[in-house]
Amino acid sequence: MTLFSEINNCYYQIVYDLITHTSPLTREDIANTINTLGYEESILYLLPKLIEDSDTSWNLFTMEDTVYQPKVHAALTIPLSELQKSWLKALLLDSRIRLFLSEEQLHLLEGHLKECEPLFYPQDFYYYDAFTDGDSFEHPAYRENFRILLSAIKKQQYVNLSFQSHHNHRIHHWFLPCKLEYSIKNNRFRLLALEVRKHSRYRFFTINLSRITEIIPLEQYAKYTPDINRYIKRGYHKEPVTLLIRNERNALERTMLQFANYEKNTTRIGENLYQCEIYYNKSNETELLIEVLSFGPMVKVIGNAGFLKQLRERLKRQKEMEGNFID
Amino acid sequence: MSEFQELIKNFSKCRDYVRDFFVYGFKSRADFSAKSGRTYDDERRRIESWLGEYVKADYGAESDAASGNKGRSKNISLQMDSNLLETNPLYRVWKTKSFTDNDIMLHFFLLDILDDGDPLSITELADEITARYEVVLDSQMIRRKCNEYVKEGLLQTQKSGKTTLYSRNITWQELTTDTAGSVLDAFECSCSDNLLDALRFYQLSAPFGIIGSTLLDNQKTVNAHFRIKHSFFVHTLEDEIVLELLQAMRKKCSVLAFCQSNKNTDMRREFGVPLQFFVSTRTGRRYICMYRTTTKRFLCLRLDQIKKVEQKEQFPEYNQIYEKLLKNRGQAWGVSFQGSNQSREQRLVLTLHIDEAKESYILERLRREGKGGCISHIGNNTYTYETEVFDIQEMAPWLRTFIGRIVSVETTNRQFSSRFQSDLEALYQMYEID
Repeated sequence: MTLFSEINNCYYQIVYDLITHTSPLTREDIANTINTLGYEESILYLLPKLIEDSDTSWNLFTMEDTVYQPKVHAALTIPLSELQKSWLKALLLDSRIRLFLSEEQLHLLEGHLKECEPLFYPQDFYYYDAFTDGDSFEHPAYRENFRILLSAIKKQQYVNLSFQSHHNHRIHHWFLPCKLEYSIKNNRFRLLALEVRKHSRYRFFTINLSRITEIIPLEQYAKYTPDINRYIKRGYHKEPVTLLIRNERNALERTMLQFANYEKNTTRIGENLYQCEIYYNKSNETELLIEVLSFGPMVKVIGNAGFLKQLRERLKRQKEMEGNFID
Repeated sequence: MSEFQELIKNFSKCRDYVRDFFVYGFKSRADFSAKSGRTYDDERRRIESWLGEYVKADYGAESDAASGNKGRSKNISLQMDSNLLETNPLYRVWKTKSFTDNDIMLHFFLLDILDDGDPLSITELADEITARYEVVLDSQMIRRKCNEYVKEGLLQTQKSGKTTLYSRNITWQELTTDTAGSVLDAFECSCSDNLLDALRFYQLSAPFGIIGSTLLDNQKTVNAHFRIKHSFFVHTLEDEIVLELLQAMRKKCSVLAFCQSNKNTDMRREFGVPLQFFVSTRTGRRYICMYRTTTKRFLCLRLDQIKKVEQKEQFPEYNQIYEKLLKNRGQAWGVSFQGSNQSREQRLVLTLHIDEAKESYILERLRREGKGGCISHIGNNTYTYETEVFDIQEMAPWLRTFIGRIVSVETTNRQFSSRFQSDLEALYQMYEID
């Protein structure tokens, strides 16, 4: 079993998409599919292979007038590879799988995959610094809420939702559920939703699933899918955090890896000295602040002003308490 | 001069380039001096082709002393905000394996002919190919491809007398239905629809998410419902190494790992018995925890530094050593099983000032992040957190996250205490805190 196999190749996927079309294709249809599913330069190689009548073409289409008819039948299905089956088998052992599948469905899949070894077991991976207060995925009410929200997201259906805020206030409002976000570190799901306000305006909300107390789906549906990223990006700080990194104690590699899940821009500004700009959501500011603090003096914040102010305040408070380190 | 190809034969060749463009993003052509400039140009062009929308080109400083560049150098970076994406764009790198004309023709011809489930011999397959597609292909070549697909799991064999017959393996449709048809859940959703939802989620969150991505490709669908937070997309580049280590773990075998760090270009060899992957959800590092038979100690190797793995012989005491690891790992704060001063365990008492009325979340942090350390209320707004770990040095980054609230840090490691204090002094100086 190997991961890097031609059967997963993007070109195979493009061809599969084309030959399973139920109607004949024009040259333009073929070119459009290549440009949509392929890489930037794929068309230069693929188009001649698919439509030219030459010794090196792939003989997958017959040309009739100006259209191309696939030679294979449109209902062609690709069998599952051993790797795909064993990965699916591994998923059936995961604690979150019952959020998606009923017991009967799980039983059906287990039966079909009984000859197959799981690719991995949950205990093969030890998340040594994950938080220990993750969500209770096995709780029936949690599962039901998860399924209602997933269904509402797919149907673009509004819901009447009640939840307990971080400050223990009970909030009850109409929302349009947009995405379910899973945090690996927290081992919990959050709902990314838009609160319905006056004059068809929306306000972005993030709600922990474990804090939701009631969901009532409404018989009302959004006409289009709002661009959730537009709302999320409104929460981004205009100015990035700018760090100066002196590459001592392997600080450069450590910071680059740790901040790899943020959009960032790093430049070398001198010997062993680097500047890194990190773009972040205001709601994650405290998390980023303590991440930066964890690097100690290897990293210096030079902006933005608000972030720098918070960091200095923490250090000031610390200095007032210091002098008590005992061996 | 050979023509530029978008596809590649060997994954490991591009692995380091993609990683460097993604993780660092400031390196220029001169920094990739281990290979020729021409190789760099080809790799850069490929990555721009695969991941164009995420590629950003910048020009470095006028004189870049560290890299030895004169003038302004072009730096390529891959810019992705994992919170805003519905799949990992780096999966595209896994979908670039090169192939021949015969490979792709045989792929679709064979699967088309065998789609109805009836088993056929090589001769019958060759005849069908000629009849249906007007192409004559060598039967040895057809046999080779069929046997390759048996190994991949796409096809299966059975014997009819002395003749080997080939048929296709189970499809998605067959996997998700039973003899009576769809199995619906309480929400009236079919097994296929629900499993697709699971794939949409797990392709982002589970190990080997690339496999989920290929399944979604085959089902001609994408994820539009799930997002991921605290995910390190770059981990996918290590998946071939993870797969080889897992195969050794299943067989309870030792391995020889060839490692290379960024600091040292020499290849280091590490021999040991792979037991478990240690994953950090915060630092972006993943390790394989191995038992080093020569020193009789546990050792964690960074997965991104492992370039190659060779499976060796079976290790008879695998189960006992695995149990020992499970017993010991609770005492490791991170991935180190031995402190710098060789002592078995080191003790730490952290005293924090926590405003009980307003800062209960700090207590929550101690509980969920403190790995079972003992928390005591010792006075008005004052708490202690106490633990014993193998290597206290690993705790420093976490302890620094409490800056602003630390009343005292008491440890049995004198060197650690003094380093922690001097780092704090350096911070005060850096930010001019009087």
